[in-house]
Amino acid sequence: MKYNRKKNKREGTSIIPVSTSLEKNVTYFENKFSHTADLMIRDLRYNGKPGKLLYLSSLTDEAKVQTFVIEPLLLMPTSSIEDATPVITIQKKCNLVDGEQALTDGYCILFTEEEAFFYTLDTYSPVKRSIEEPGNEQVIRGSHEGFIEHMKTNIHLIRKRINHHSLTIRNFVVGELSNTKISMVYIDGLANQTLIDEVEKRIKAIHVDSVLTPGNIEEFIEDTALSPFPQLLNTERPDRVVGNLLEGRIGILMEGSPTVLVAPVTFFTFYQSPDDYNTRSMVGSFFRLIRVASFIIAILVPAFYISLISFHFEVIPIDMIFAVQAGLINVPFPPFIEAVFMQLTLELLKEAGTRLPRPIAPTIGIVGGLVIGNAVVQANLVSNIMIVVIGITAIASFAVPSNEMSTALRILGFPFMIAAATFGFLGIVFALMLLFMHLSKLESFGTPYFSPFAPFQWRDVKDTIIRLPSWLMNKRPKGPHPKQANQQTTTRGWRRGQRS
Amino acid sequence: MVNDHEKIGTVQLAFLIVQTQIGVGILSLPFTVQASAGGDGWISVIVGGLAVNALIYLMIALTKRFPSLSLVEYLPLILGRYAGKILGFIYIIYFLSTASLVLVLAMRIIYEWILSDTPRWSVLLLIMIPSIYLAKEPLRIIARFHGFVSFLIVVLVGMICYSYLDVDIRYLLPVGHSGLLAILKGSKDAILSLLGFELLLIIFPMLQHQKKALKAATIANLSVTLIYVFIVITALISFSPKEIVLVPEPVLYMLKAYSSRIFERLDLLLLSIWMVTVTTSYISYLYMAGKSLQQLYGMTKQSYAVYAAAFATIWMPMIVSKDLQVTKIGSFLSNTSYLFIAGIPIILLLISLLFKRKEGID
Repeated sequence: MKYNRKKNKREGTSIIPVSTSLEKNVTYFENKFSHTADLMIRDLRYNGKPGKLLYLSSLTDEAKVQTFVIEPLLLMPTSSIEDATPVITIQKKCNLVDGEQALTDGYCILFTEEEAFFYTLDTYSPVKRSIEEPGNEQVIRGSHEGFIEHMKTNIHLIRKRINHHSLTIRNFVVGELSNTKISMVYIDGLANQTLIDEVEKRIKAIHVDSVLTPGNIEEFIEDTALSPFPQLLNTERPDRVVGNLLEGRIGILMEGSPTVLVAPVTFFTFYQSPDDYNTRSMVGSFFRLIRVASFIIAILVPAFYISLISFHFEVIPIDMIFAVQAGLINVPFPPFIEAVFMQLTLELLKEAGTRLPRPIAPTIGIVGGLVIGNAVVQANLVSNIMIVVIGITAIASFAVPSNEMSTALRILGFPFMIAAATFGFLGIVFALMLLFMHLSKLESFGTPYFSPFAPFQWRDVKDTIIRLPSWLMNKRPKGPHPKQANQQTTTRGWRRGQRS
Repeated sequence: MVNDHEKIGTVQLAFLIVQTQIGVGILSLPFTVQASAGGDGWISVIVGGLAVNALIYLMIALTKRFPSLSLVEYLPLILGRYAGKILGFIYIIYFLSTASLVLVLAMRIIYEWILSDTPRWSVLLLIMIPSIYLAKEPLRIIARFHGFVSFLIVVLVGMICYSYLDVDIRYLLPVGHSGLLAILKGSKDAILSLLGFELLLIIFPMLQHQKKALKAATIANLSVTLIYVFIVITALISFSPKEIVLVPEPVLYMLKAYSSRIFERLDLLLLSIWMVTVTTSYISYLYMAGKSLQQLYGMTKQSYAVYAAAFATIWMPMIVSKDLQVTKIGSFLSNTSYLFIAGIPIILLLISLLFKRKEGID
């Protein structure tokens, strides 16, 4: 692989002039592409001279080649190529290396005898699925469009929502072998210049053979690599990306992936869902609070229960003690073992449920829910209350709108359980402190991760744990340091007119 | 000297001071001031708070003369190279022993109230690992955390309100019955619970708006004083003068008497919250010691200095476990601390005024 990369690098910078001999040029490409079966060569006669048309049949639309390239050339053999072929992109090139790139991009290239240049003609046939609603980020109301694996379509979906000339797209190519196209999308005049430069710098610093998923890019450009918390937002929803772009953030798209990365983010970005803005602000705020509560429940409830049972039995109110006692009396294990056992079972069920072929998936629900849930209690392996505790924890962790964050939460539950089992409340307190220290320490592209709370910024709380009505959000959040703070001036101006 | 990225805002400064000031003392403060000033303990706290404010004024007057230097950096400018370095080192020892004392006192209460049989080293590790994790970070990150956990103080005060179910205001009356001398003696103890403002000596060069430092520090100190006065008054009117002599941690006993429907032991909850404020004080002292150590020896990495500082604070909690020893060492250290927060800064200020020692003029 290393050898390959060096070779590629050297060739990338070199210039190989077009030979006047038709055969030599064709042989060059045949050798370069190792006589691959999908390299097609078509002989033409044009302007009285022999010509050769090369293309990769797997990437080109052969109907296009036929109607827009071959047909016109045969019908009008005397006019220039630019005049004859109704193809959008035609370029004249003199470097054979450019031809290689053009071929792998789905262009066809045209040589003519005794001429030291060639033409590249865009005949790419994009293969893409139709736009569907992303399955892992569902909303009740709002747009049901999702990104697909075709970058042009994805940018189309964004441009459709921001009809303004300031929406800017910067292209990069990452990966010496895969030559993956990556686009950085931002709103010029809104996104902070230092942020743009920083993202650009980090993307350009990636030197790899290939990037397969946005997850690769995410790991290469995030600030703190060793953290359970996701530091870039992964989303398949155009409206989510657009909302973030409009707050001065940057989107990173990758060819071949429906997932778009958004930077910089804060902890609370992962708790926002487009649904919040479609419901009434009170309802939206309520659900935000529920989600924040779900964060606390997901990491604390099992730990709290463990410390209650193993350390602080006296904390349980007297009326409840009998109920707890009755459940525990026949269980031979300490609560920590119970909790870890159940938590792991739950993770197993979840993982198996995701990987199973769809027709078999319901089986997991039956085996997991009915068989294990019931039998485990009847066999006195786990107490009834522990089942309730783990159930609540699982539901709470699923309430997070972002899958990465929800996974992070469930993993974080384990250290908390260990801390609770060894030190009781004190352990939980110190584990919590460590967690919040870590959150205060994290930064995403220069934005404090736990920002409007650490450092505290009263103005930005309005769109984090609650959602104020839209007409109160006159200013953009300070987090990504947008160039323009105001996002609206008067929204309910009609009221003033009515009163006077 | 300090780049802008490192600097902290005025509000963050206030929270840093609040979190450093509120520490171990909060649980036993009513007991200690009552011991000397009786029912007038709360007046002692006010007097103590005002005295501390005077000291804050003094410290800012001193450190303002060297706006971009921290304590160990300007000591040599005032006292000459060798004396300055030695005094700087003594200050580091002071920070370390205060941090150590915080640990000892915190562990005493942990052992009395929560974990009586857990090995000491494990509890020590439990406190120190998160503390080191934060103290090795730049100040702005420490300030973020300290600011964030400050909401716990509101919870703490709210919980203490619970004890107003059963109070007798007559325990305070007549106001001033213990006499001026007793009140002043009590205020001497109150000042110890307000320690932590010496943070200013170290972090002044890292402030964005140095002119607002006095205001921020004053507000921080006065709010802490106010919280203390509230706690002391609550404790003094919850317990009769005869009872309070028997309870060294009146704040906890106050809540132990009550139970809510879903949570039987409120004192355990209070202890958990209190642990956070104690740890923040410890972190601040660790940072002060670490940062000074780094500057004194010109180390490149703050984290190494903090590791060393943390290691130096272990000895006291590991050796000292008996109550009597704790009290002895505690009182010795608190008596010497007056030297470091009042005595030496006054002398330094006088020298720098008399000999016109300022930053830039050598």
